[in-house]
Amino acid sequence: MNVALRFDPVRLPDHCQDLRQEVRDFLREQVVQGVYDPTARSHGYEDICRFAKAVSERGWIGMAWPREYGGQERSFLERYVVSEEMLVARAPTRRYFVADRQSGPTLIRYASEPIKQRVLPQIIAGEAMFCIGMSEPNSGSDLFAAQAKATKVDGGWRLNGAKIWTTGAQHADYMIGLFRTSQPTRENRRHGLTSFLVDMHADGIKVSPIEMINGVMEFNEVLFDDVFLPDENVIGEIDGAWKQATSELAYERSGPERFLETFGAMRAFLTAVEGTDDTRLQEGLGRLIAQLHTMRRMSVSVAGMLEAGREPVTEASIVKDLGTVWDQALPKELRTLISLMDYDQYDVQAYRERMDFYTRMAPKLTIQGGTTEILRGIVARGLGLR
Amino acid sequence: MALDSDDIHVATAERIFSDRADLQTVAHDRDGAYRASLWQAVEENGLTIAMVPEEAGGVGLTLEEAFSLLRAAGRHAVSVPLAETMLANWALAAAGLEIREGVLVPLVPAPRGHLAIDAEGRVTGVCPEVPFGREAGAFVALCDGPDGPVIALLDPAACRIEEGTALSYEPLDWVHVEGAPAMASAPAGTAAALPEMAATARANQIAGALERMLDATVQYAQDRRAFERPISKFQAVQHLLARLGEECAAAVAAAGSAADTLSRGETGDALLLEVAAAKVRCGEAAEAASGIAHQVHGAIGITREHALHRLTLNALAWREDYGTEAHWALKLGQLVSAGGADALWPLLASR
Ligand SMILES: Cc1cc2nc3c(=O)[nH]c(=O)nc-3n(C[C@H](O)[C@H](O)[C@H](O)COP(=O)(O)OP(=O)(O)OC[C@H]3O[C@@H](n4cnc5c(N)ncnc54)[C@H](O)[C@@H]3O)c2cc1C
Repeated sequence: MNVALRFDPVRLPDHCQDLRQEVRDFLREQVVQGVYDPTARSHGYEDICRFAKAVSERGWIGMAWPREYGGQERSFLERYVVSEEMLVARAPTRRYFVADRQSGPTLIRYASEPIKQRVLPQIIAGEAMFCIGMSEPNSGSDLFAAQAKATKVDGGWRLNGAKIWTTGAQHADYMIGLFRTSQPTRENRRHGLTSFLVDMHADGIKVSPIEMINGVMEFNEVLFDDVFLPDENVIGEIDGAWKQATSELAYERSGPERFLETFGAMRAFLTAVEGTDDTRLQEGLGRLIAQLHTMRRMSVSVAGMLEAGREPVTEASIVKDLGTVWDQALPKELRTLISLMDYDQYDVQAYRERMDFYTRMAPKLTIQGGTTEILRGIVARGLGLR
Repeated sequence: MALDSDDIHVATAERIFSDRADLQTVAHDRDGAYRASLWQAVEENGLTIAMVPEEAGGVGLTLEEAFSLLRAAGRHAVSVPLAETMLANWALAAAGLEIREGVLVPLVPAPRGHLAIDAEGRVTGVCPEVPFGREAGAFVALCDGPDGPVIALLDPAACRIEEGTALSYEPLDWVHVEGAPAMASAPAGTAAALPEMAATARANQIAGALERMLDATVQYAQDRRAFERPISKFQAVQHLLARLGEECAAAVAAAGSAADTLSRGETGDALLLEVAAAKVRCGEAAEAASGIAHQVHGAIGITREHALHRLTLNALAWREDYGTEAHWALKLGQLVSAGGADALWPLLASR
């Protein structure tokens, strides 16, 4: 075999399943205490702050990070369990999710020591929300077309330009952003971009929310007008950000959020069809569960590879592509099945309202975090074709 | 072959398959001459008793190892009743009966057939679409008995065999039994999981066939040129191959997870979830992957001469055996819809 795609049947160790129970009990308590409403479409800023504090108190933010920065060096598999339980319970993790998943690990790997000492404990305390500043009006899939500029000045840098589609920027405390510090070279068009830690409260930053077709204000336009950053905020190599990008992708792409975003649609469907004896419905449902289970087993398998210190970039892209395409199709598949039910058998209005929410959200799933086409390009590279 | 090279049994099997039943040789073979020598090597090396514990006279591989051996057989589209004989010997041993030499074929009548054994040990019923039915030295049948499932050993001479052909041109026969006396029988015990074992075997064979299909198709795309470049340089072709890789990965993951579950002796809802998911997902993957493999090969791939059809037609044919996607999806859907909205996640997360 030239091509070896391994997806070993990794099982979560027993202590992970104990942790899972703790997370479930915690979440139930949060709902009972009214900290969040699991059926809400989105959650307000106060809610997400309160929730982040509560999660932090349990030690579940940055739990796998080094102790010297306030982490607990728990396993990646434990983090995985916490993360999937939160997703399924539709917990409002927005304030810390991005930092916990990718910004923190990036800082640990590439940031200057003073930044790590200062910022990582803030994340762990649930007090530092991050956003990712990569996309621009004229640079999406083609990240290396980024034009927002960082210019060297005495003691630091000045930022100018625009980022767009920046999830959570309206509430974020920090951005990890990609800025042009030199022109690309003839040999390497990826040269010339540098990663910076941006303080979102700095002077000269303007954030304007953009409404999505499902009515949610999730992403934003961010304008930079001569924003000053000290030198220590450079993350990694100047002009060499492209070397840092790939290893993070495996973390970003293989997680349970890549196939559980519309799990609420599945729940609504199961509630509507509970006890049905229509074999057509049952068969259709069974197929979807078979596919979902397989994706989760693949995702857990990638988590196992990450835990073992590997960099499964191809495998992670496979999980994201299969996962997001599936997640996107779920409302459509459920629609086909529910059409077989009589209207007097379930609460039609309530069901339709929930399903419409997911149908409106579905198109974004295969765009955010790398489009289907870009992912397939990465898989093709993994197969030795590029 | 890089995969599973840590497993000596799989490596041995892999060597036997490539020596005696190289894909290209088999594709050219019209009279099945290679089969006798392949079968001899398979039996001499103990592959047919791989799933049987040592105390019962077998090789005593873990089920996980035994299923990865079947995945290797899938990579070679092995066309002798190896999986069938392995499963039958496993069932005999699990029911406390003597294992046997020669070709054995399991009769797993569900979902579309039925076999019953009466108090006198006479078996009646029909088992439709039995792979390699006509080649059996003996049948190992899972029957409904007066006190629960029974494993019964049947003499093919006492049954009526109606010959048929699978999509892959392998034998696919109907076995009719009208009061044939069992040569031996025992309460099934753990052998009652024969349907799950058989479905998982097929899932692993499919996963193996897809691994080889991926390998062969990637290679072909790099070798074949059009418009002055290898076709692998066209993005449309790259994306097809990426999809093929993804389907292959899903099949490997699903089949491996079910094998692991059986290997750990798990039962109940978890086992149903795992086996159903494996058979459904591998069946779907077989369909998607075969389509892509043929598309990328162009005309050469649909010739009898080229070996691709050994992989594609076998993978597609294996979907039919021991419960189709629809059969297992229905069983899984019945479980999940009865459990309601709150039971699904705990079931998935228990794995
Ligand atoms: C909900 C949501 C949240 C987001 N959050 C963030 C965020 O927090 N931070 C951030 O930086 N960005 C974010 N994004 C932006 C996202 O990363 C980009 O939308 C994505 O990378 C695609 O870029 P684009 O929208 O400019 O589309 P384009 O790159 O213009 O792509 C348009 C189409 O062309 C296709 N295409 C492009 N290049 C190729 C190619 N080489 N081969 C084949 N097809 C190609 C694409 O697949 C797509 O179908 C978010 C997007 C969404 C929808």
